[in-house]
Amino acid sequence: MWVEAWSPEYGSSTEVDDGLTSSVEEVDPGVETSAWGPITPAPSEPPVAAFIDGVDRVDARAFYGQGSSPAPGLFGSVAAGAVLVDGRAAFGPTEVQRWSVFGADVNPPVRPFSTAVSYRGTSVAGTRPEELRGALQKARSRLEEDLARRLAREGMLVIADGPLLLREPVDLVGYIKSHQKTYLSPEHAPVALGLAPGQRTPIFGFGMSSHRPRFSWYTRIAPAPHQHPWAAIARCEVSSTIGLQRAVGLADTVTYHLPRFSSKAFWDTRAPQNLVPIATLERKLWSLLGDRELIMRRIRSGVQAGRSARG
Amino acid sequence: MADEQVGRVLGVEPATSTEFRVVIDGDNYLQLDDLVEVRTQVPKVGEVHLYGLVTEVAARYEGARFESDMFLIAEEGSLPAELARSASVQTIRVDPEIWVAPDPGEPVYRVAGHSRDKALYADEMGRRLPIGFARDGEPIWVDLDFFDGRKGGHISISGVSGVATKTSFALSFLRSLTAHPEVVGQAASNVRVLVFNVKQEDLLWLDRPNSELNDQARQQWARLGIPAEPFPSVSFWAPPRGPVGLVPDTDSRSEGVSAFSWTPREFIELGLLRFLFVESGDFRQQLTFVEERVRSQLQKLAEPVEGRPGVVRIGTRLISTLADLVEVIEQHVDPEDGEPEQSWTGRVQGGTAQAFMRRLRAAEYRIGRLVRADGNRVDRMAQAVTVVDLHKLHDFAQRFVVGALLDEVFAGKEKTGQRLPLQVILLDELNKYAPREGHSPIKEVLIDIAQRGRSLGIILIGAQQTASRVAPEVVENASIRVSGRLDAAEAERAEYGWMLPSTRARARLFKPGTMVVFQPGIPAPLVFTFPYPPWATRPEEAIEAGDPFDGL
Repeated sequence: MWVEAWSPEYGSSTEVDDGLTSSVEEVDPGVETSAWGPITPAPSEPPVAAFIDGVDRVDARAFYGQGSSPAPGLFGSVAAGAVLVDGRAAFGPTEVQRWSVFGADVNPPVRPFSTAVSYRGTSVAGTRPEELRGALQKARSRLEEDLARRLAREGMLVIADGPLLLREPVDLVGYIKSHQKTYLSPEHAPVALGLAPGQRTPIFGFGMSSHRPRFSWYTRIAPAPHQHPWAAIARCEVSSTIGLQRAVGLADTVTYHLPRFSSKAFWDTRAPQNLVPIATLERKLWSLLGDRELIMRRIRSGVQAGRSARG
Repeated sequence: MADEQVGRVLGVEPATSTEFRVVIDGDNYLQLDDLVEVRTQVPKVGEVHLYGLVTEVAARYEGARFESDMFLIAEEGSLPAELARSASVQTIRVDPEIWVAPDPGEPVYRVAGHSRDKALYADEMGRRLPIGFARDGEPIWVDLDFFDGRKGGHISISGVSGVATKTSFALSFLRSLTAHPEVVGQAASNVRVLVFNVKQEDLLWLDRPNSELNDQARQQWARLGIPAEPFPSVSFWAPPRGPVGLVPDTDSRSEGVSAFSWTPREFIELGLLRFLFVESGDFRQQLTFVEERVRSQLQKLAEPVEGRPGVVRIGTRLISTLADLVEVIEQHVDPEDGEPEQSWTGRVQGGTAQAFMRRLRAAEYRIGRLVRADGNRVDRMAQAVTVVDLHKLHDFAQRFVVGALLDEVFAGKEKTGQRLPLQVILLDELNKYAPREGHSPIKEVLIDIAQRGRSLGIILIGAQQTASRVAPEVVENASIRVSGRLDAAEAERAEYGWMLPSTRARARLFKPGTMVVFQPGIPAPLVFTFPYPPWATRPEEAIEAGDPFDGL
């Protein structure tokens, strides 16, 4: 096995798309009401909520095997965690995993490099960098899903950073801060753009005939004067398996309370949509992954030692 | 007792052998002056124990980046943050002496019992005398080897008047000294303490129980092994009220107080004249030169008078008061009809002789009542503690008395050459008697005591508001330094270099009864408190001996 001498950033940074943006999904705007206009939810008690996020990082790229076409692989770390909000915000459970991913269906044995740095092995059929990376991202998604499920079952309102992961009927809201595509027709879009903070659009359905049918709505989380029209507008989604009534309840709760968690321009470069608990959680998760320079050094010396041991 | 873990060594920044930080456990705390221990494994050596003193504590939110984040954390509840409390620790001992940094992440323990003794070097103290309580409520000690002259001597006490409780500490130290003969050892027998009372009549009640002593203070004294009782053996001395009769010039108490004075004969034989020329300008103006001449002439010419032990005859003149003496001196130094006698004045100018006489006449007015035929010198040996009350005397007379008594002590000790019995001198306002600038005979005696007193068995407990105004020879020779509340500017001076920066910052906040002590055996200043005195410090507190209500 050989470790790529270049820093992993020089490898492919192509993100594997999650299949959400490219697929054409039918939108059903009349799920909640046909009278499209801004909805202002009534005040409610703050829920006990959990914000969930995950991160993944390629620690090192590697090759396995002799000859002219060794199998490409990578060593990567993933982490997921939660911020629990019950009056005050506090860090909840977190978990870190490290994976070695090799292409061409090779799964070479990798011994632990140290007590803290130990990689589990997996493989993918392909050999392209984005396929390897995809396996890592899948591992991260699994961690996030497991955490979301666990906390939701404990009765919390779970808000995940990014599109929905679960199909189970639990109180899980996907929070999408960037807009790769508009789900609303030109007729309905002005309603979203005209929202005041703490208001939402009516719920619309999409992908209703797909394997992941969802309810969704737009909400404004902060006033955003002098910015482009979609700034400060986020989209939320829930699995339609929870039923419309529960979805409306969640939409109202989230719309009413979310502005409290929005960030200010000086505070975060992705303000205001990047929510304060999620931005903080992300920083913490990055720090939990450990120092990459140090880990890279461990991997290099470990791989080299393994090679020498085999002669 | 199991050691109590309070936190772990921080490794976010380098921990060093002399200073490191501790992140404190969520369910525990550390405060300033707490003593802690870290055990760290050193390759090839084994376990090394580092003992340290908490010099500062800090709390912060980790994860917060902006000041306004506090609102997000504490008010909005949207920003999660970890409360991190940490303490800075200064190493005061390493055992065995392998100076390494503690490993980050090692548990940090609060010292107790044996480890506390180690941290405070109590295991190495030859003779440890309890002086008060550290922050943890346990006693702290002073190594007497550094007090009574074996390895060092003298105590220097600094602090703002009124709140620094300098004299109270000195007395409670002396009380401890007299209550622990087993610690003091050989030096305990016949220790004599000379105390000068310079303010109010505060010290005229050392032999009376304090009516305001409560049970808590009683228990504290008991824990120090000292009976919560007044000084058992004290004599009180005050100047006489007038020229006739030996009635002590005191207000609140006259019973048990003796009046002190010197006879003209003693005045001449002891050469006390020089303590009338102690101002810094006197040396420059050659007054001291004339004084030396006059002093030796008097010693040469004075003859005893049969049947009148205190009186002398000079020529045909009987000298029974200071006024008589001044007149005789005037006849030689500045006669009305004629020139000064060179054997009395040397070749000084007429103006100098006149200045000398002016000073003498002023002195006669101020200390005249202290020199008389029925003179009664302070008997420093009668009781263990001798209190000499100066507070009613003019500044000039105070200096005369202090100079005369210090000289007497020093001369006496020099003559016997014996270190024991110890003579302890407690003198406040040292800046007045041994000022940083200028020459004076008292300053010379004090410097002599500071430099050589250790071997002669004269121990000076000197107190002053500001050590920076006292002759450096006096302050620097004190092995044990103590300070109460200090003026902020004073605390920054080099004289307090023995304090840690954190101690200096806090010294201006010390409450009465809180002090900091530094001794050669422990390389760190220790903050301590001492209990409320069991002796009365004001007439209102004094419980009369044989009071019919006593004990009710």
